[in-house]
Amino acid sequence: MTFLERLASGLPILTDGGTGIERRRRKCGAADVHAAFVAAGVDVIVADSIAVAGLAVTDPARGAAALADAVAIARASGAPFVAASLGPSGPGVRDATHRRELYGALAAAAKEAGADVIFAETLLTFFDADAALDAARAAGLPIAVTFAFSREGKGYAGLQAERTAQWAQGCGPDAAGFNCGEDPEATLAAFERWIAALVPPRPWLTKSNSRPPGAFRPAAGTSTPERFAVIGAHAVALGARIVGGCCGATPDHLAALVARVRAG
Amino acid sequence: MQRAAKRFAAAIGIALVLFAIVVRVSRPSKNGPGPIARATGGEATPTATPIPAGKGRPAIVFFVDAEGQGLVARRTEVTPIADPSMQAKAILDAMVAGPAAMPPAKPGELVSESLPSIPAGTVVRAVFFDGKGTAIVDLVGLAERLGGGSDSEVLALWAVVDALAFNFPVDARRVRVLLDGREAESLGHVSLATPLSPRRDLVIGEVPSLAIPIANGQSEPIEEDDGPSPFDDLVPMAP
Repeated sequence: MTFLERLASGLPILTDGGTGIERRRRKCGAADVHAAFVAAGVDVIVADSIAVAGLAVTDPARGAAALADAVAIARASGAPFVAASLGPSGPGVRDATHRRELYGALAAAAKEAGADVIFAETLLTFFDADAALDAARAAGLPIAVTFAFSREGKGYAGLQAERTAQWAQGCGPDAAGFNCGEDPEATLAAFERWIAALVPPRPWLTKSNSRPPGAFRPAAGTSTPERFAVIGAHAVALGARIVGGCCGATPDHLAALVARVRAG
Repeated sequence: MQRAAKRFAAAIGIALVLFAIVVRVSRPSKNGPGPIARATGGEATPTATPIPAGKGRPAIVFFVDAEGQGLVARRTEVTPIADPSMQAKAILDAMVAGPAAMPPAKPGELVSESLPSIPAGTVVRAVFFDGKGTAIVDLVGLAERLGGGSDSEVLALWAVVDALAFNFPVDARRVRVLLDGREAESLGHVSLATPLSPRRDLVIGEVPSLAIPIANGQSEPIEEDDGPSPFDDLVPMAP
């Protein structure tokens, strides 16, 4: 079954959590983190490649090689699906042509390495979103595009949640939504604003943090796996078809989410 | 013999030129640093020449605690430089060099194990002070060297912000971070759209005083320590 066939089936797709932070916490490599998320029962392992777009700005070949390595490590986890993660391009992009070239090289590398889908994540601008979308189409890969928002529903570069909904309607990625941001409540709030503005609906995606970045000692009870699972399951009830975690979301968080979502 | 003499003369000439550059860079301007002071330079040298005891400028640097759960402050000494921007760059260079390059702890000094906060190889290319309380720092190669997700971004950014704010409490109440010479929307997860304010909540434990110990057991604050602490209004993180 392809990723798009699974998406069309209507069954929720569970992705993994915050691989980078989990690597840091466990002091281990991506393979061990992927294995822990697979054991938690997720359907999609997202390759540890969110930084390669920034790397590819100055060295496209090095960025493509790093992406291919990350996809191969994710593939070895045995997960049903592997997503190649592409993050923002960063400040070094010279112009639109340069941006399209770098995302094009990365999407081609993702296809060559055997990724099932591209997750263009934590995006801040439509420039990156457009370039990633076109690159995925050219490479023949499905793509999910997610933007990051603050608690107030604003993107760092000034995007409003409703504007990204309009972008998704007009440009038609295979799935779209939110990741990262601040915490599960903030992501859910942005998600609710987004789906209210989105007609007709298309597959929605939310990958929330379990806590704000750098909040190493969150207030008691605010970042527990149970709370994370309740909010994620609520997003599914609202119509999200892909749900998972981002910064601080551990295999325990994902195991709780998987259990709650699959229990219906 | 004649060739040896020429080589000797060339070596002397190069040494004189290098000395002139060092004097030129280190000498304060007659007019002071002006409203925007700037320092630029290359990659930090991890094996800097040790500073003789008591001859350095006290500085507070921030590294990551051994568990990766916050920042820890450490008092050190850096080469005194009259130009505040060059001084700021020297302090950040010491942070890039990492805790392994710190001088050994003095007898009785408690230094906890720590990890680098800024990835090795990152270049502090320039520091500016706008004269209105905002420091601007240009970091080259930071984004591509960071691993560990958004927590690593937070720790690297606020190690820089807190170090500048603590060592220059009047001139660095806020810090604007440039990446590779350009304004950036984010480092990946953390917004850089506006200047960053210091965060005491990320610092585990106490921040050492910048005051210089003197003979009678009292201490003398250094010039930059006249202003309020950037952390005065913030609640510290529980250790």
